[in-house]
Amino acid sequence: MHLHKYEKIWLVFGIGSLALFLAVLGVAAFAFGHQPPSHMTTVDSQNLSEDPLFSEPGLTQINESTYRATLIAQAFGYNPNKIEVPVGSTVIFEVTSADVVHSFTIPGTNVNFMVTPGHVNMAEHTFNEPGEYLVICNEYCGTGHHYMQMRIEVISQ
Amino acid sequence: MRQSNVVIDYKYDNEPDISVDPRDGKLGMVHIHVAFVAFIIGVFGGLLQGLARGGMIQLPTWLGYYQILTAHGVLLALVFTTFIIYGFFFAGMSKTHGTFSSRLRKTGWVGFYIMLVGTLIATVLILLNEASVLYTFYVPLQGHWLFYAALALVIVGSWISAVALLTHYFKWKKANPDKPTPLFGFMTTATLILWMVAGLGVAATVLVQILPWALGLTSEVNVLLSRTLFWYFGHPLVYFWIMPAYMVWYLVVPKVIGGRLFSSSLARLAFVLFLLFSIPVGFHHQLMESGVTEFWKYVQTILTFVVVVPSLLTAFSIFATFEQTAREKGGKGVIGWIKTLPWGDVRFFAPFMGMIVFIPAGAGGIINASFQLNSVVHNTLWVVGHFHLTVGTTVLLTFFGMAYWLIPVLTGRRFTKHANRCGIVQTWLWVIGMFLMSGAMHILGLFGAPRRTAYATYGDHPQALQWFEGIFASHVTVAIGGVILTAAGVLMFYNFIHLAFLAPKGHTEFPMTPDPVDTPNTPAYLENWKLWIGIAVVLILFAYTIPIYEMIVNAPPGSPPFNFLIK
Amino acid sequence: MGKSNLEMKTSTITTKNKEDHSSLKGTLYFVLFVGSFILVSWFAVFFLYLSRI
Ligand code: HEM
Ligand SMILES: [Cu+2]
Ligand SMILES: [Cu+2]
Repeated sequence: MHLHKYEKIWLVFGIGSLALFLAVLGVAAFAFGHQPPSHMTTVDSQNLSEDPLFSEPGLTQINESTYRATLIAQAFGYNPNKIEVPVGSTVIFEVTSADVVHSFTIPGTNVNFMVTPGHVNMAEHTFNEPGEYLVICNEYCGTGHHYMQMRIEVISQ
Repeated sequence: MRQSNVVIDYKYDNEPDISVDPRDGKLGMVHIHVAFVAFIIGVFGGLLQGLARGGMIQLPTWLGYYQILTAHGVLLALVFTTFIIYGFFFAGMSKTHGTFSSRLRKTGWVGFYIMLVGTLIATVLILLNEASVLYTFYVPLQGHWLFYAALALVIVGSWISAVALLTHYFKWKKANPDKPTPLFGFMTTATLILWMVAGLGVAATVLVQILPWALGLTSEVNVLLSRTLFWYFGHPLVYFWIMPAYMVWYLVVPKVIGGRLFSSSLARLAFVLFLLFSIPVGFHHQLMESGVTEFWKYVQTILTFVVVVPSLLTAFSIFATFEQTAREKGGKGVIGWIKTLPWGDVRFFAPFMGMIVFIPAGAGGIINASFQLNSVVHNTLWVVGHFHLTVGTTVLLTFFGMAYWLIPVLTGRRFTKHANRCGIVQTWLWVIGMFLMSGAMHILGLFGAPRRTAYATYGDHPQALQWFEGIFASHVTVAIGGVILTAAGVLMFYNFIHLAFLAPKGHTEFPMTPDPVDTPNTPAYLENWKLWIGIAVVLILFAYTIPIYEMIVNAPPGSPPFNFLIK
Repeated sequence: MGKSNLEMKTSTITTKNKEDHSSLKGTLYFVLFVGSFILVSWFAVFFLYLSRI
């Protein structure tokens, strides 16, 4: 198979770029911990009221500036539908679904993950700006999908 | 040996321009009829979506946004593409490998009718609002069981047709044991093998998981497994669209510009790479979901990047063909030769614009597949912008460029000057409309605007309002682009009617590049299908066995059906 | 397809504009443009991701 000289240049350039991308992504993920949300915990989606984690969804403080938000996504909203944290807090979101597939998405941040029934998914984010953050579901979940939302109130002190 | 690229100066078709046997032509043509009917309905769906999301119209109560969106996705992404591809394959295989035997042709008809029945049932159920589950039909939302059965019919019908086409190819191969097979057949075969291997995934989830569950025979479904089987199929699905478009680029466009393809082996290599690497990559659609470890997601990300390579090869081959041909026709300068290309010929111009659009489309695709970067774009309008470039423009404009000559070839008509002119206008309109719609969608997506979402301002949250107020990045731009696209779609439908029913009877050329000069030196291993299927299976097993095993063994209690949510 | 007959056909054309017509300079520039476009857009989104961490 004969390759033209320029084609070789092109393949080196192209494949080199792809390798560079993979290296950058790999280092960011496996060395610096910026992984895609891939939590492995499972739950019984039809009996969340008996689940130790999800029987009382809400916000708990872990230490001075870190919170854990356990949330249930269900058609067409989140439980609870509002949480409040002080500015500068890091929030670990742990979300599961009581019915169909949803998402938990804070537009303008990297928090954007799928919420599959039977599985818990996780992401964390540090809120450095005060304000009312919008959370939306961006996975189609039925006729009221476009109403599905909640708020995160980040309060300045 | 020096090789020339120009064919225009001599008549290589001393071998007369073999046309397609009319009986095979008829089989090809019925596919194209179905494709364009689906197309025009889908286009009006798109128009309504754009206007409704932009808040410019309110949908009547009897017509749901998600109902239209399901119809749009199914009719354009599944029906239009599949039918026009099979039309192209039947016509092309008849031309390049000889007339079909009547048994194989009958098999082709059986496949066609099964696909047609499936399509009709699915469409009726969508119109009855019994199946507003979108074209990805993720469980545990549940549509009517007949909808899933209908989709299964489409898949099975396509397999039957694939068997007819593959048998035709392998008969030729057997009859000509020492020759490399014609490129058209080689590429058709790679595409169809890909389609059949990939189809196993969707068939498994539909027949084993979803249908029994929708019928009430089982009470629960493993959601993650079903999604995984869907995307095992869903990514190769996009290659099932792209590969026939590449066939037009490799085999038809060089002839249209008066040249020839310059390497047979490289073209075959690219198609083999697609076959090998486009299946074990489905996790790049599931990067944001739980239940699959980072490790396996990263493995499939790497494999996804490998399948970019044949597209890199294609970019070079096609452009080199243009340049060589243009220079031999007297083109000069580093880029001045571009002027010698036949810009006024829509059979070239439409696919060419498709190629240009593939630059941002491909770049966007690499970004989508980039592991954790996917969180920036996942399920946002960026993704919708992306696939309206890939399938909605690159593939579609290429198929349009093909339809201009294929339809008159199959109906024994002339490709008229009028049709050519309409085609040029159509192409421009499509590109301009898509620039507005898809451009705005990309930027809106980066700002977080969700896909698959009806008009919503989220309680007038400032962030959501901003999606309506941007100068370019606005749902309003999307809607305006959609209107222009609809005009282009209507014009294309007119072109179809014109060429299928109204154009004067006569002869139209089936442009097909002659075998490249290096064809006799094609390495034999490239034609060793058992080898390639074997390697493909090994790669699939490598990428999927452990994660799927874990999904089954560590499965949470399954999900019951939720069918009240879609009505 | 017979090789000799192809060679015969092509030889008549190859004599015409000899200096220039096997050059693929335009193609090289085209693909380098494509590659640069990919690099630039990829890093743009990568930095957007970083800015949102
Ligand atoms: C007149 C031309 C078109 C217009 C105005 C249009 C408009 C749209 C809009 C506004 C959406 C998305 C809305 C949302 O996510 O809420 C959409 C989705 C989609 N479009 Fe188009 N489109 C057009 C042509 C096409 C073509 C030609 C194809 C493919 C061959 C296509 C395939 C799709 C698919 C697969 C979806 C996603 C459906 C889903 O999310 O389930 N569209 N289109
Ligand atoms: Cu939703
Ligand atoms: Cu994909």
